[in-house]
Amino acid sequence: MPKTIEKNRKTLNNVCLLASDNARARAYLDLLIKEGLYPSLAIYLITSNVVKTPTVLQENDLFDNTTPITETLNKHDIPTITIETESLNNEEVIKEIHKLKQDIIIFAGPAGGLLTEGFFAKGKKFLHAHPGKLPEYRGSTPMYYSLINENNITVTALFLNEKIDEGEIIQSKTFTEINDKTLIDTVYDPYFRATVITDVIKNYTKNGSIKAVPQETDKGETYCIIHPLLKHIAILGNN
Amino acid sequence: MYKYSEFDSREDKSFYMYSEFKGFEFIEDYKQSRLNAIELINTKIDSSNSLSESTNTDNYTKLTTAGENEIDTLSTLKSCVLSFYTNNLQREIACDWCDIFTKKFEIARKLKTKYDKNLKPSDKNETLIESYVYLALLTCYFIEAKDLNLRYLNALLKANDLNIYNINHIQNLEILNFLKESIEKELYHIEKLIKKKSCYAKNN
Repeated sequence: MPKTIEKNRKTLNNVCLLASDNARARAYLDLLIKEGLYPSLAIYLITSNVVKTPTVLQENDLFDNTTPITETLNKHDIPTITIETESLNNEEVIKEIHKLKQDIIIFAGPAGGLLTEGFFAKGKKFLHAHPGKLPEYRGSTPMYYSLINENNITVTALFLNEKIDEGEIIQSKTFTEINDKTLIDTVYDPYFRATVITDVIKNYTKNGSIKAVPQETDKGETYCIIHPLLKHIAILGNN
Repeated sequence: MYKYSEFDSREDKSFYMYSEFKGFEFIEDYKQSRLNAIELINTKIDSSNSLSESTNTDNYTKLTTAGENEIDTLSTLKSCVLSFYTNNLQREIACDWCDIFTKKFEIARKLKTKYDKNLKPSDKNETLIESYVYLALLTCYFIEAKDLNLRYLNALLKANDLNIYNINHIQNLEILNFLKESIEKELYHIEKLIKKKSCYAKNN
């Protein structure tokens, strides 16, 4: 059956989505599509050697978290290259990225996946949403540290480079409305990040470029995966 | 419910990832688990006939600045801790080492026996359990000094999970006392944070 052409569809000729099937990628795609913004290509990674993410597809009112990403890509006719690989940094993935005509790659790869040097060799720009204010909160699970210290979560959009969370900063947004803090991992974190990514892409379609500024790399802290006790304090804390 | 000191966190890099929310009871269980550990340490200290002799602060060796020479992890961490006991002037160097070892512990989970001038492992063997006790105690000092620094508090909780997991392998009286002190300090900091965040059970 022929698919209906979506009204107000804007294909982003210079934008590719690099994704695995996780809540973050589902949120990115859902919010972009709701704005009529369609990456011209998706690279879908099936990775085996990665950190296990929560398997429950938490249904919610903020984004479609239950439709598998491949189904959404197919439904909206977004051309997709599927790569089965042990790790994100496999040579095959890097080669595929280098071949792309798109210059901007929205990164929604496996959790904890860090891009190795090879990815940056051809000058591609990897757009990432980091769930912490930069440069203050680098590293892993910064949203929980920020909840304890600042009672909010900031998401910063940046272009990735070889160093962890030290790339050029594009924009950031602070979120204070979190109705159920037990849903941060499965709902709010992916949703907040998707909101910022969508804002960046909206601005890009308006301005034709993405402005980014270097960050002060000697400032800030690099945090590591939050201990479950501190996570409980972040969730249960009232002020 | 508090299971994090019942397993060897060094064997699973995703040990703390996506931990589930278990409600306020989790915090209560954590506290009880730590108090049980203190009690066990007290029992071991009371029956200290079988424990090895305690060393003393005379064993302090001058700290080397990071990047100067190859270092031995255990003796460096020990000297860092003793710099606080002897109130000597090497705390700035101890602060640098605390930062370095905290990062290594958080990222790799295992500390190696020796590190070269570039802070790369020069001996592939893992350091002794005692090093993690010294690291835990060292982070306590800097949590205090840096106004409840969450990065160090995070490392302290993980180090003490591991130390309690290994508690039956610790036979040295001094190390047991250091471990007890670090758990007590950890509980103090956690209570302070809970109070600061008004973090209570809903029916309180």
